[in-house]
Amino acid sequence: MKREEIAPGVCCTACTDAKFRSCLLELNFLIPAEKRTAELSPCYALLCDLLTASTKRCPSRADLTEQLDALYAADLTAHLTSCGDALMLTVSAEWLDDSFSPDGTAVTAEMLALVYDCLHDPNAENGAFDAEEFRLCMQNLLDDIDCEQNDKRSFLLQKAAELAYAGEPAALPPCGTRAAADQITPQAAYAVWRDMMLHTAVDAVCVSPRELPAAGEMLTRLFAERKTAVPFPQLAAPGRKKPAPQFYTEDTDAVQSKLCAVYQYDSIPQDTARLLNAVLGTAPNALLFRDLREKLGLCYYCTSSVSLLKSSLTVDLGVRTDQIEAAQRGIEAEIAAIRRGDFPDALLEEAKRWLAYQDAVGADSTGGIAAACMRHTLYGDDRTAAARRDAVQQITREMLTDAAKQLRLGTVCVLRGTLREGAVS
Amino acid sequence: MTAEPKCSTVRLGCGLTVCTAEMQGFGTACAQLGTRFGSAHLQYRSGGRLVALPPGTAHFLEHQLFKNEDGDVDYQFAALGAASNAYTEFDRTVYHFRTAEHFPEALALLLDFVQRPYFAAESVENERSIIAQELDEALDDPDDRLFFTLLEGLYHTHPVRFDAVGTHESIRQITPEILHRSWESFYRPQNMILCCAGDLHAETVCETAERLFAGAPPMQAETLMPEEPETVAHSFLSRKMSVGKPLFAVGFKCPPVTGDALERTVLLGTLALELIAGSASPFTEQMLSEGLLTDALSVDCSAGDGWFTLFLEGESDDPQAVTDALLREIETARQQGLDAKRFGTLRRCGYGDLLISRNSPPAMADAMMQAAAAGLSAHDLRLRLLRQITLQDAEACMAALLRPDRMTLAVIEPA
Repeated sequence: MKREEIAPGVCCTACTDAKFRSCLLELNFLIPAEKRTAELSPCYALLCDLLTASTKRCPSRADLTEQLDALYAADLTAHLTSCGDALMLTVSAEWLDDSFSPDGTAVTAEMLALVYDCLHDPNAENGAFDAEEFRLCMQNLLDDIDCEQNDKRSFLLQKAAELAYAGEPAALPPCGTRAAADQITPQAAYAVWRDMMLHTAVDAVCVSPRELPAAGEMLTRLFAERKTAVPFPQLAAPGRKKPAPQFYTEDTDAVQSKLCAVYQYDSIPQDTARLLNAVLGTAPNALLFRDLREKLGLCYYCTSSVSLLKSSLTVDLGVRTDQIEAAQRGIEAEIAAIRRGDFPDALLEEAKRWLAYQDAVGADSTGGIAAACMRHTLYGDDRTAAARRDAVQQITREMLTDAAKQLRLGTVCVLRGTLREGAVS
Repeated sequence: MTAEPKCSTVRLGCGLTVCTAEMQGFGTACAQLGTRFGSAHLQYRSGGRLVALPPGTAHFLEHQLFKNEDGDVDYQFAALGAASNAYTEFDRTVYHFRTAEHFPEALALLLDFVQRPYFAAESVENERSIIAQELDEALDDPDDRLFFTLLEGLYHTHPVRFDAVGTHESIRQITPEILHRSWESFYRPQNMILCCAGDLHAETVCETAERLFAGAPPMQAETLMPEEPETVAHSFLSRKMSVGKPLFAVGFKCPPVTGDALERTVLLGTLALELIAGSASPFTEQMLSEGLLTDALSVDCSAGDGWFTLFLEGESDDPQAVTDALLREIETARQQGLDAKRFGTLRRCGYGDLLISRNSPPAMADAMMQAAAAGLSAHDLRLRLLRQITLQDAEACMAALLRPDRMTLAVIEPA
């Protein structure tokens, strides 16, 4: 694994692993918190589509799709994710390695040229994106925003983030609001793209079965215009402490209710926070699964996630409307149990194994390896899987108990299902 | 150079079919144990007796088999460093795990626990409550509802009309006795398939399976499917849900096919639909420019014992207008033929897609399981078919399968 700066504010990590048949190139644009605003967020969301739907040389979606399909199902996508208060716009390209091309097509060279075109020569002229392509992408974005309610679980998690991080950039949905999206013009989107290419830090990762110097060369050309230093943004941004827990309930046309509880903490080492999360909600035998689901039969899914950047731990579950309070008490009881150290030794050991397992699974896919490379930028963690496993092994029950004592309930968010069973028919 | 997986398929003396793929360089391995008993199997004959099952039985059994006197089998997998789970399809139930350590022990656990059912009344009751929550979640999922609305429109009697989880009423009817009888009837090595892929040795897999299934009683049950007319049950069906924009699916009811012929027909049918209404088609370009679509339709199929549908899904403010345009486009293609250049591109796309998508142990095991469950002669049959098929084959398939009188439009409308 080699990480090097190839242009001001552009780093590239190259990994080779002969077991794969495909190559993956990810460009992660790290949009700092000050640019995660109501006005700019939907612009970045729009760029995800604008930059990967067409290019100057392939000016229609059909043209670009045809070209990608002809390159043996090459894939080119982009998406936006929340990274603490910052945003990360990821352009991702995956294609078949040349050695598997049955007719000798130079897939890698063509794909790298396509990625270059998408980011360097998008479907734009005279300082604005193509009007028709812009209209299509905008309508797609507005549809996505309108349809956020379709997936009740992600809708609730977003609502919880809005409340838990009120007043902070992380409270804004990554795609922004409909009202703000409606205001974007082809010129404004173009200006944001130019700014992103010149002034946003980029962490690129290339995973391939053999060395691909061409990828580094393409990236060097892509960012050759950059002349001044671009700092990597500070991503850790712990949420403001809430003086008292905030409770929010919203009725929804659904059979099942959903509950989300966000806990904040001050300073838990990353490995301990990951282990705490595993013991509570993500390991196969986690407390929430074992007790709320298996013993009490309260829910089908009940899990947790930790945000190392926002110093928060979120629990979410689906539950019958008449059991919302029981579920909330159940979550509190499990956290109290960890604070008391009241959990089996076997669970602690299995949660440690679970974290090691996650790393092993990651190493068996190009995407997992790319994600591991990004840990350096996101969390300052460039350890090997073995070093991470060893560090987790050192965590004691007492350390976990102390960590759990830091958890303070900040926000409880409920989507109360108002339909009775059988009503959806 | 990347090493090709070393694949083999054998039938053990006990009747179990074992497929393995030794994948050099991978640090994990996975195993899937499937039985040909799925949510669509609601009737069977055993010992001369006809048995009817409540919808959701196979899925309930899937949940219940993870239970034992000590709690949950998941914990035992976790103790070995493995992650386990299961899923129920229309025509099979599959139990699986993946691990980076202790693969032989985890494999033995997998093969053992499905043979040790635990149907204590209290445990079954508890599981019923969890499954009810799973069903509620599915009932709130617009994509899930759209799919089942489509199947309900297409099929008169075939059990694919029912959600794999069942209904609240049917879940209540499932008793420990029904679960036990179903397990006895279908969890027999002759009816099962084991697929393992990744960092493993095929010989060890076979030895372990042979040992753990030694002495298992023979399969006696025979699944039965109701008579299904060729026509659709409803040409239009809609539901209202909390969605931001109408979701719709257009499905074509096709005559059921089995084995290698099914794989060939699915390939040709999906290619024909891609050519007519896929993301690079003139149809999609026109729908986008007219504002009837904001994104391309997705092309898919669902097929198995007694059912086969090719369908498209998408979002539109006017699903009927998109459907009318689609039918006109099919008629035009019928008269003028399909796009030969694009057909060639889609063949290349299919080849690359297969190679890339099977580049991990679970994906490889999935592919082997699907092929074995469908009775295909090889898991990579599609690679061979991609070389053999012609544009004329796709056109013939289109003419035979994409019939307006065998079509259902299903819509989820905003409440």
